[in-house]
Amino acid sequence: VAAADAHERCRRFETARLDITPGAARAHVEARSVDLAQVRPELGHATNAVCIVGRRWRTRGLFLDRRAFLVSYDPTADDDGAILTRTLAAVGPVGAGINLEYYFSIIDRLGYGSGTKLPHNITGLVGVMDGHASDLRTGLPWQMVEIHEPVRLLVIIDAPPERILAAAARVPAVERLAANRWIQLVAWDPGGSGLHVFTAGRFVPFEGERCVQPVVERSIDWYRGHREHLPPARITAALGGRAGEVRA
Amino acid sequence: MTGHDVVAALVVMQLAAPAATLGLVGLPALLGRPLSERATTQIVGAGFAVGFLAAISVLGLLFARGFTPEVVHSGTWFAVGHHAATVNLVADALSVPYVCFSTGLCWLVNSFAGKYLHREPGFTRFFILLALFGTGMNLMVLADSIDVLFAGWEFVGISSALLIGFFFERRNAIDAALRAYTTYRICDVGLLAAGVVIHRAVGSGDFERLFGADWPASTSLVPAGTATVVSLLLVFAALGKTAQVPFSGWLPRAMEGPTPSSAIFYGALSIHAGAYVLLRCEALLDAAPPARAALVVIGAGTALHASVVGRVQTDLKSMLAYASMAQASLILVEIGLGWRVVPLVHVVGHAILRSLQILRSPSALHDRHELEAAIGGHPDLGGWSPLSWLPAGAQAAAYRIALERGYEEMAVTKFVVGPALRLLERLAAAERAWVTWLGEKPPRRAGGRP
Repeated sequence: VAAADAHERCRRFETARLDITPGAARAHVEARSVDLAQVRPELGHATNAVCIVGRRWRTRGLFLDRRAFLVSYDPTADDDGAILTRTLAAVGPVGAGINLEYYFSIIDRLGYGSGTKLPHNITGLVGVMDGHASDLRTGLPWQMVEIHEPVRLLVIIDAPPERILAAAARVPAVERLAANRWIQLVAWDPGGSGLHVFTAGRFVPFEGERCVQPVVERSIDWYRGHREHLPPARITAALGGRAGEVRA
Repeated sequence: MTGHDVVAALVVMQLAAPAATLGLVGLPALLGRPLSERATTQIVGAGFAVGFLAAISVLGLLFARGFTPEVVHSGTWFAVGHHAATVNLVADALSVPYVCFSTGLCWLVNSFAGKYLHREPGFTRFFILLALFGTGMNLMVLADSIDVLFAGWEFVGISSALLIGFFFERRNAIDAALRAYTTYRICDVGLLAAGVVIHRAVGSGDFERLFGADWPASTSLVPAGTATVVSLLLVFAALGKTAQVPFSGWLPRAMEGPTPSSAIFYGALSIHAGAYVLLRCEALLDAAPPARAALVVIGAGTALHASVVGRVQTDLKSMLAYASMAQASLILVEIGLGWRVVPLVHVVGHAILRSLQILRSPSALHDRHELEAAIGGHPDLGGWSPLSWLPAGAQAAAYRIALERGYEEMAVTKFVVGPALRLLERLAAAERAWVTWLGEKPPRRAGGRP
């Protein structure tokens, strides 16, 4: 599993060959982690775009390109929405915080981001500045965000729209994030009424174009040979032969 | 092929290999089609590797023959009347170990930088400058005449300034590069003047006319007066690159470039270039007590300055810059005391340790976390300082002086740079007035107009 995981991360590293084997990929990421000269030991949360709060079986077998925060939540055991409230109170600010940090660091690499790492100089063991004298650099360095796509976090919640509205109303931080459009909330109704997008204070049913979802046996079949962002695909090996209730 | 030919070929290779990579990487970049990152790193690395292996081979050959120097005549650069600037290289007990060490470090930093600068817009530029620096360094070290040495010295200076200004979109980097370059140029006058004096005294720049016997037992062949003048000029030349007071302000500011270049220039090679030149000409210093006294006084003063000022620096690279400065100053003191092998060993040891520390400096927070996790708390880094022997009032004064970096820059700005700028401004104003006056003068004769 470690080798397969390393292999999936390696497709983003330009110094790892695209035809690298899983074993070599594991050795590659291990070597990166201890290399003094390596300014990108890992790419961290770069490219993050989605947060899916829900039952894990609903997304099982879906290739999300390592761009999703996956948070477990069972709407069937939470009729009064208390668990959802607590979950959103944690997930909203943290997920949005991470996502927006990347967002702003890439749209203004020098102002909000901290520029390139190369001349960084550790100051007082608390932070870095550029070279011999500069302000403390607080954003993410260019090396961390260069492959990031500046999008606001799409938070998909496996719960009925009314319960999400009620939960968000109890957590001011989440309500402000959603109302001021720092994040995009989507209700993925367990009752089968599809997706609802939070727009101007309420949830409206999502009318998207229908797209055919690619189906491959293993994720490696889908990402092999690619460095760029990839759309989701259905991975049949993860479904163990039975069709999951996965929707696009 | 005689033994001499073999050594000659190997010595030339130490220069030609890095110089060739300069062309191989530089030409495609000039034509607008820079090589890939991998090819760039491999070509420049191969140049250093060949130079390093050639230097090691020469070291072996020399060792087998009891370190009898080999002088390689590579032709005459130019000749005017009875003056001739010859391109002579020397392989002896000083130059060959030094080339092994400097080319080896360049090779290592090349490998480090290949990863560190991955995807950086100035990638090719960095490696071109590194190859230029390596070539210049080897030229300077292998030089057997003051002319060749000066050429190498200038390559080192220009590549150093260009790498400080590597991030030329940042104002601070450009200011720091200009400051370093200005300091270098002022002190280069010393080396150039020393060259002129040597040419006048012995009719050529060749070291064999200056020194008798082989390094480290070399002796001076020129009169004491000439030796004193040349030595004082060389000491002046060394002050800039070695960042001695009052020329030390550029060094902490020079930490604007990418970390690997800071490591090799200000931790390892460029900072010791002045010490190398003095070691090479130590026979002259022996005959010039005033120059040796100046070295000891300036070196000891700067060591004290750097040690006190370095203690209050809050950022890692400034701390390392002052630590470098302190050690380089001690090396100058050792040279001033007339020692020869001790400073050479000190240079190599210091350079290796300091460049490692600078290369490691970006990982300092990580190292700190590991240390704290290992001992389960904050390490007690209070430590003992010789300054704690001072009375409380003097300690406070030392602290204030250190925070102001010894008031060195203030003094230089107020008493040297300021008056010089005012003088230049006055001259410029006089020129403008003069030109206006000339322009207003009516023409004496009516000339034909086109």
